[in-house]
Order: sequence, then structure tokens, then C-alpha cells
Amino acid sequence: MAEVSVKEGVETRDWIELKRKPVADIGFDETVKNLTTEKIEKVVNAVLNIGKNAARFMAPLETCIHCALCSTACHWYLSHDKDPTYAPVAKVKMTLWELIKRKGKVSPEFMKQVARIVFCECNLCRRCSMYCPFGLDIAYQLGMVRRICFILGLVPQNILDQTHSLSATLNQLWLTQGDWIDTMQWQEEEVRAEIKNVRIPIDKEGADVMWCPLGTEPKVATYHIARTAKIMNVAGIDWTVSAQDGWDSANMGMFIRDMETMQRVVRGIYDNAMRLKIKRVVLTE
Amino acid sequence: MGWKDSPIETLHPIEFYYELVSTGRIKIDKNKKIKGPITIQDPCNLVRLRGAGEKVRYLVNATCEGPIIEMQPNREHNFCCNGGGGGNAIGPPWKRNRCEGARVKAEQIIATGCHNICAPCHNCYTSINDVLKFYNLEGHAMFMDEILAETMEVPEEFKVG
Repeated sequence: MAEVSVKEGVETRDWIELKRKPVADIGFDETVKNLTTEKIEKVVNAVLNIGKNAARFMAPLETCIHCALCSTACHWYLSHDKDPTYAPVAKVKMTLWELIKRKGKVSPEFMKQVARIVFCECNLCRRCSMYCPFGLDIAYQLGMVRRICFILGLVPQNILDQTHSLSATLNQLWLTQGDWIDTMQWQEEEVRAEIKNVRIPIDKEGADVMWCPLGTEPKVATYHIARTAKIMNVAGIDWTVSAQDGWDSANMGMFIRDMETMQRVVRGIYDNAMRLKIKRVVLTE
Repeated sequence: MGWKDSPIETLHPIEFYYELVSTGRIKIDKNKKIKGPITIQDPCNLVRLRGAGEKVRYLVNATCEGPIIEMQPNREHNFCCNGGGGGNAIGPPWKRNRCEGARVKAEQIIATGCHNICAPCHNCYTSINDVLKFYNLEGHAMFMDEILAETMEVPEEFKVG
């Protein structure tokens, strides 16, 4: 039976601990040491606005009838022999539901499990919403839990580093402006061996198309730049790439719900397009 | 702060390539078409969100001899590759966890029997190749820019030498 603290109206029953293979990630293991219940409570209440205006979160939780149609839509659930702890409804139940029910009064260890569920066992692919009889947006709910985890710093190290890079340089992999321009010129030279007089125009004002690659392309996958240059030149497109920061279409801030970095990345691309008077923007595959 | 709506039209390359191929700005060389059966991984962002499933199929039809053997389910009902939403970006420690979660994708690929998988998305491409390796399957993922750059007709004026 759940014990209920009459004074605070908060259940104090122990949460269900999931049986998973342990995975070491500094982003979880180290940050969890600095967390306290007070810190978590403050962040949860700030993001979810519990007690004041949590209708956006309460409405889907109270509409859900636990029909489990979302379960068979989830590749995590099907890939683990229909283990119910991987079902989308269970992921909401074990994260957002508990946080609201306990008004954010949870232990750091519980938050670590929540972070693993939302970052490492869900892709926010929205397939479950397609089969929900009420069309509840489960990806949005889990996304907001990602936001709580991000503000607490409970994010896998690799993706947090890439978000820091976007925050500082507006590209994913700490490339400098010099590296970027050099790579484009080097690729232009390479492709010239195959296609005559290929150009990768940099910062061309008034072009029809601005192409925005992913940060990994100039860093480790330059063949994408070469192929794009071939296609654009053979098709005779008036195209360009931006020389200034804001050429990278990767948006890790969106994945971890770092809204501040997310909007700066998008704005960087649009600002560049406006500066160069571009007609259309083509992002990468 | 930022812009309220997109001030400029933004396109996914598939939509852009569709425009190039369907209007004849890029012509496909019949002799260079990709041989053998091919299957398509539908990226969530492109197909479920932007509804460009038919454009992918138009391009694959134009550039590959085929036949296209569809994964079941397909188009907007296809399963995620398990690399999206930060799935790949959370990094190397989680690779095993990610591949185990993508067993459904491996089963879908085995059922098609195809060795060529068109995966027109960076996350899908990486993830599908990892899944093939993890489950010891033959085959490889292919980008659309790779397929298009290989099969397009290069006019005389662009030839070197």
C-alpha cells in the first residue's frame, strides 16, 4: 500500500526500479551526485507549473484510458519481446505521471532512471500518437521530461557536448569558420577532377538556393559535400553556402529540449538566408 | 527573438531532388541505374512529418532498376530506425542498447530479403548500418545523394579531359 503524507498530499511509496543492463555515462553518473530533492522539486515545478496551470500536462494524463494501443506501435516494446516497461504509456507513467503525482518531490536516483527512459529508450518518433484513439502526443510529454532533465544537467555526455558546441559556435562539432571555408574549397578542388569547372560558391548574394549541411559533413563525411556539388552544378542551380556561422542544420538543442540553443540555431540559418537574400533553403538529408 | 513562421521556404533534399528529376533538370542514365532489389527506410522527419513518402519512391523508381520491395509496415507507418530523436547522438556507450532496441528493424529488413536499403536521412543511414552489423546481416544503407550522383547523366560540357 502506498503511504500518503496527509500534510503534503504526496505519496511516499518507493518507485519501481527497472531491471536494465547498467550503462556507464558520465552525463548521468556524475551529475546525479550533485542533485538534491529540493533542486529537482524546483525545476519540475518551474517547467510543469504544477498547481497553477498544468492543464497542458494534466489533460493528456487524465484522458489516457490505458488501452495500450500505443504499445504495439513502439519498436522498443516489440524489440524487447513485448516487455511492458518499454511501452509508451509506461514511459509516461514512470516519468511525467510520477513527477506530477509527487509534485516533484523525488530522489536523484529516481531522476536518473527517468533520464534513461526519456533519452535512451524513446526516439520521439511519434508513431504511438498515430495509433492512440485520442491522438495524445506522447512525444511532446516525454519531450518536456527531457527539458526537466536538461535543466538538471542529466543528459548523456555526448549529446550535451554537441549542444554546447552549437551554443558556442552554431555548429555541432566545434569547427571554426576557417576549417569550414577550407573544407569547402578543398572539396571544390577534389570534385574538379571529375566534373569540369565545378564551383562551390561561398556567400553568394541573391542565389536561388542556400545549402546547409550537417556539422559531421565537413568534419568526417566530406563525400556528401562532393556529391551535392556535382548534383547542383550538373543541374545548373544558382546555389551557395554561408561563410558565416549558422550554416549547420544539426539541432541537438531540439533533441534535448534546450529551447534557447534550438531557436538560436534556427535563427542563425534564417538570418544568413536573409543576409544573402536567398530564395530557398535546402537542408541536408 | 526568433521568427514566428519560416520567412523563407525550407526544403528537405528529397523534395529538392524530386523537383530536379521530375522537371528534367537532372536526367538519369539508364545504363548506370542501381541494380538489384531495393527497400526503403522511411525517415520519420521526412515521411511522417512532411509526408514526402511518394517523392522518395518516385526517386528510387527513377534511379534503380528495382524492384522496390517494401518493408512491412511502410510509409508513415514504418518503424523508426532507432537513431532519431537523439538516438545516435547520445553516443557510443549506448550503441548496444540502441541496436537491441532496433530488433524490429532488423526483422523488417530480413523479411524483404534486400541488400540495398535506401535510407535518405543521416540518422537512419548510421543507424541502419549499425543494425546490419550488430545482427550480422548482409547489405548496406544508401543515401539519395549517393544514388543520384552515381546514376545521373553528366553532359559533355562537364566532362574532364
